[in-house]
Amino acid sequence: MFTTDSYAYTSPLKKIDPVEKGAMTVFSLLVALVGPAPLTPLLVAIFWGALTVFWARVSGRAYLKLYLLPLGFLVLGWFSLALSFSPLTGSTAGYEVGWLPAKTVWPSLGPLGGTLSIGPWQLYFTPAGLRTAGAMTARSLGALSCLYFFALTTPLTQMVGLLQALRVPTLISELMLLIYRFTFVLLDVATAIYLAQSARNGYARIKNGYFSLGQLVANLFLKAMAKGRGVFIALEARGYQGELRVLPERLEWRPARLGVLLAADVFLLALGWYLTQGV
Amino acid sequence: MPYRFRYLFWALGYLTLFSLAVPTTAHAMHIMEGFLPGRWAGFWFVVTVPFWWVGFLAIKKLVREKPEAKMLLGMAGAFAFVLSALKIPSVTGSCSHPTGVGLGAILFGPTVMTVLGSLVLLFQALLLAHGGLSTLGANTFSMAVAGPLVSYGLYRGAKALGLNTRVAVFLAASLGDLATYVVTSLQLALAFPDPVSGLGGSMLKFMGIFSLTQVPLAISEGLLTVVVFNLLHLYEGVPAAGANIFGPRRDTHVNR
Repeated sequence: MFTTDSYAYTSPLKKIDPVEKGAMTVFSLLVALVGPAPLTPLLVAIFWGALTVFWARVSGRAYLKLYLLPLGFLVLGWFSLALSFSPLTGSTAGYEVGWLPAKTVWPSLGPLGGTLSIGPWQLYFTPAGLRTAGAMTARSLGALSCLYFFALTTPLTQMVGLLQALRVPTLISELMLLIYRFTFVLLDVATAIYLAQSARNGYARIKNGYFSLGQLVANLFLKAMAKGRGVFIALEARGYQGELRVLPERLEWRPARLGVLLAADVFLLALGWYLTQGV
Repeated sequence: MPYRFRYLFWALGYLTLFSLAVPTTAHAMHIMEGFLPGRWAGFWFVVTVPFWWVGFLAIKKLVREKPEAKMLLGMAGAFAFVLSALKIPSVTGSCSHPTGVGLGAILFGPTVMTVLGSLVLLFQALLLAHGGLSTLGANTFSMAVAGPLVSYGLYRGAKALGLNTRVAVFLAASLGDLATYVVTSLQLALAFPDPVSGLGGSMLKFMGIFSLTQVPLAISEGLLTVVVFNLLHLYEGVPAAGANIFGPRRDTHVNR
């Protein structure tokens, strides 16, 4: 159903303790967020991307496709950061500090270097804005590579071990497990209803569509509550005492491996700093 | 380059941007992984902690009083997650995904929604690459704290004023979505003040650009939630707001 989920369940790194993978992820995420942009995050992206493809054996194409998912937000965000606007009547020559009128700084970029007037406003790229946007893009790529490494190698059911290590209350981790299990049940129900509705032209027009989707959601809700009660009755019949216990999996925990990867992150951080200072 | 080509260039750029960002589906405005700089990501985690705590205590109390509430909460969370995977035909002709913020707040109450919402956000980040781990705090604050509080407050307020249930539900769902969008824009503006026009200008930019997807989404979701509520009212004893749905109730419908 979900790409990342199926990769996680078939991952060669599935046997590694989620706490170990969680520590790697969180640490490299911090490095990507805090390290000097754009160099460190890009190094993190390359390093963890390579690990995901070559160590975790995720197909390169599928991996790159995952980066398309947040693309819409990235593009909109990039433009929001890179563009600035001010009133048309206000002169753009007054701001010497931090930025210069785009026209004088980017003359070779054609329309990119000029300003666009919309009504009483003018819109233009600024060097400071472009720098921030570039840093943001690099940071996002770095952080995404860490998120994908974790998501592609760790089945969600193993997350419970990680949450316990983080001292998250049992109630929350149990709830998470339940939500995960029930998601597939409800997705099945929703898909079946959707199929039946569209076979009857339920989504033929926008107005029909709203009514059909409303029916779907309402019935899904009632089904969900009924199933929830059903699960409770079934559990009670089997001696449920208010706690769901599952056998812990036998997982590998190798401090040496964790140490090496954390050291690699520190190295990337130091390299980023060194090169940024040097330039 | 002649002056009039400049407009052509911008028009083409805008269309490209539009088609990239609003292809067929518009998602709720989750801040993507790594978008926020480290300190702002941390800041929103800190701000969200008290709400998590209040929500956790509410859920704990609920489960202690009614043991079956745990299963129902699990189902409610899964319901909210599945809801975000559905597509609403949007008023602009494209599609958008419901956020379930308003529906969840009215059905389950805002405090319960904080916990369920943050778990759903975590799932969306890990399974759908939608949102992120470092931005979980910020996204929880906008989608699982601010949105539900506004929705619930409006629903309660509108009912207290004696407004029609449909109007109350529409206001709660659509303005809850809008509140989420405004809070997210504020979060983005705080992290990235504009080099020329400062915080206010940045806020306007984010609100302006994301209004393309978020305003149609709010209206679509408002309409959808009204339809859902009308249908739910056909069933006896279903949602009168708050935690009463977690209580024992006879099953009037098929349990399969």
